[in-house]
Amino acid sequence: MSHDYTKRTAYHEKVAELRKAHKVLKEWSFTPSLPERGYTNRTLFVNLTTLEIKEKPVTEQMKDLFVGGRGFGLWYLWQAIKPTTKWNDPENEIIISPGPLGGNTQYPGSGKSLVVSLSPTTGIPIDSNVGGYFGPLMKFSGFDALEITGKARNDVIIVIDGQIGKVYIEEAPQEDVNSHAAAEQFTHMYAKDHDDLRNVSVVASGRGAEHALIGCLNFSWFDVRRQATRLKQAGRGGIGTVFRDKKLKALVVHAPPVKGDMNRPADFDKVAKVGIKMHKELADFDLKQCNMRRQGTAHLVEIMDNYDLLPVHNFQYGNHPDTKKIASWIWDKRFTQGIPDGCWYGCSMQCSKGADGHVVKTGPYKGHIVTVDGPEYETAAGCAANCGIFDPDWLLEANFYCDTYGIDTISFGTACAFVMECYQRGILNKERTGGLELTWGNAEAQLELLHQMARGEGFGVIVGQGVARMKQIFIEKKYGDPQLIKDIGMEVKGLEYSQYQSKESLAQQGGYALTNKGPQHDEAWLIFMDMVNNQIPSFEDKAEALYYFPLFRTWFGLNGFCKLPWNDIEPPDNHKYPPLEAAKVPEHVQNYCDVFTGITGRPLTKEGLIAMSETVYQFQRVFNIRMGKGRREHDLPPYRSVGPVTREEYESRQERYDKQLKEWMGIDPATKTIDEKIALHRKYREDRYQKLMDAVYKRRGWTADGVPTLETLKRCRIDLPEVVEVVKPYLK
Amino acid sequence: MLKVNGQQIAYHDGMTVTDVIRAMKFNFPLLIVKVDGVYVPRDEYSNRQVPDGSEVEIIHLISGG
Ligand code: SF4
Repeated sequence: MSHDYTKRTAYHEKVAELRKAHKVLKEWSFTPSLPERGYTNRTLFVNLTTLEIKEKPVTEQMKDLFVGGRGFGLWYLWQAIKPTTKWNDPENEIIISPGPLGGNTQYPGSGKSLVVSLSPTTGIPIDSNVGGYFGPLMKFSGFDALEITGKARNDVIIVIDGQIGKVYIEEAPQEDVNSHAAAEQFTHMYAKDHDDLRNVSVVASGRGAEHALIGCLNFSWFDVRRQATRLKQAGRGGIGTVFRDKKLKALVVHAPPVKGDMNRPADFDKVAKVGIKMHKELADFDLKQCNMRRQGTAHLVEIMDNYDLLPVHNFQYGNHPDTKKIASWIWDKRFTQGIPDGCWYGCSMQCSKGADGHVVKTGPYKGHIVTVDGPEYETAAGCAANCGIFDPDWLLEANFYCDTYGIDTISFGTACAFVMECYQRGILNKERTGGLELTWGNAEAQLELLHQMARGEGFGVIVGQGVARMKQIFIEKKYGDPQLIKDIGMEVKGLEYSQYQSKESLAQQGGYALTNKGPQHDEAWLIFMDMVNNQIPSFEDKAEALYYFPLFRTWFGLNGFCKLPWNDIEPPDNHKYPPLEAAKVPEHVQNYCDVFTGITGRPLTKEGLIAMSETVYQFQRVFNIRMGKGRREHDLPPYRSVGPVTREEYESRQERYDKQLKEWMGIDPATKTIDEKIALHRKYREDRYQKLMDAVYKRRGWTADGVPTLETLKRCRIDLPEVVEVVKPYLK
Repeated sequence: MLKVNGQQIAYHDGMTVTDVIRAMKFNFPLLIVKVDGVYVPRDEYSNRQVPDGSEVEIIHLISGG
């Protein structure tokens, strides 16, 4: 079925009227400037309580130690909050920074913004990497970072106008809160004319984020071909919830038109040369490799199913016969093809696919025609497969409402799957859910949960608290066996799991639970290396991978990069490296070093890249400890991510588990009952995980309790007095 | 018999790299295939025959996320 990609419900017709209702609370002037070698050297600071607006210098020490992006966010947050600060205290901040390489238009995937805040669900810092134009446009207006503190009394917007050098805080009472409409309204409101629409980007959240802790932010860009405002999400950890708690309705940036050299790089030709090489590689090989240009990350759905890695029914299983209904070939048809789908200029991977012409079936926008941004793999796996809903139209509906209500699709998918399993096992019932039948595959009930979150009523509000709090609530109310509830609730540190089965990959169990922010795959995805290739058999091998990859991937977040062009495309001669090296895609790693040097003028080697990341990574671990959650006890996964919890799970893969009993433990499965076999697996797998922790802690330079040692802090140049003070009590 | 990533699989006459990948039920696109240590380019998978008794490495790279 082909959809008219220009046809959709409009929300911007009355923007002049909406704007009349604005009240300017504060106006502040600045001198617009372009970055020099990637940095503007100043941060925009806004206090919503006092209405103070000022600029702060970006110091040489900040650039040297924290680089930019996530590093700047963590550093500012560290100074802003105390160990006792809660997410909804006014001093909690939201910091947005694109990093020094962010906004270059030469190298694919260079437009990301990093958002940092104290998370409502984890109580520790969260960082989220997001596309859309906001970060780069803010930098080209004059700021390396935006630091927001305080709380407004009424709904406000912050407008950064880099064309005229003004920042405004305005009350904005009448625009929509929900992102798909809000982004369109503010884009049209602040663009001077039609050609100027692409110079505006909006950050918004939604009604869901007001009542749920799993709120996300949407970052917009104006899609010239579609004539539509598109959205990308800073999904993880509830930053949208902090945003709405601060009564922010939107952030708007209006920047000068983008040109190719606005970072004013030290060596433009060097950057352009590497960029051209990558564009050619993508043009030549994407279709033969991952087909990202046609299917985005949704190309992974049937692959994960095939390797028993697609989470099905709350991570009980790894595949399902109905996966074909939500597989890549469905999205290949459903996404509008032939339109450039980059979420920043110059990204020739073009994977930000959009499903046009979706007619909304439920809720306040019923009957509207909308463009759904996605689904990406995580959304398909979480909201569809993990909940047993194998229907593409319902998946688009859930994707649309999650985004516009400002709800993270990953956390929502995992939370919804958890309550569906609780329903299956009698922990929940119709009485406890307020009448909702949360059976596997019940798409209407899933959507109703979302609408309830947005209305702030019903069981949806409980689901919106996230898995960690639901576990507590269900256990307190004595709804079921506490151990079972703990085992099947897929969260660590308070963050819901992203959407991969890790039961058969010990390295990935660590890749999830030994993360700084909680189980998100953007630190390490090691399943194939571990489970299929058997490349990292020993604890030390796995520990090495759990040292290198999280640090390598941290670097993207310091500099404003998207991870996808790193390894969702491979140079044709990547095979010339030994397999373990090939997994790092050495040529692309060198590209990143070259782009860094080309823009900043600072030489960078592959080893230097890792060292740069490690400073920030270790700092974040110490930050977690400072907030009470960065030690061994906080790195333990729920058993569902480690092995089979229930009889059904065991029986569904009995041949595999029985073989493992024989080969791993030397036990004849014929002599044991299913329950005994489950218990034997549990003991074996949990012991093995503890050994992995020992090896990883050693490799990362941490004590047996997971605390970075003084030598580690010194090696990483963060033996600052305030940092050392945090770890000292644990080093005695 | 063939040994693929350390696992024994049945051999049949004329078996190509594509047949081996199918027999292993691998559908991931980013692979490095080596037969007895010799790299096989992607566009030769369907023509390149694998001798009986060979050792085949099919390395999966990483994507997604
Ligand atoms: S690879 Fe995809 S998500 Fe990443 S920057 Fe390019 S279009 Fe955006």
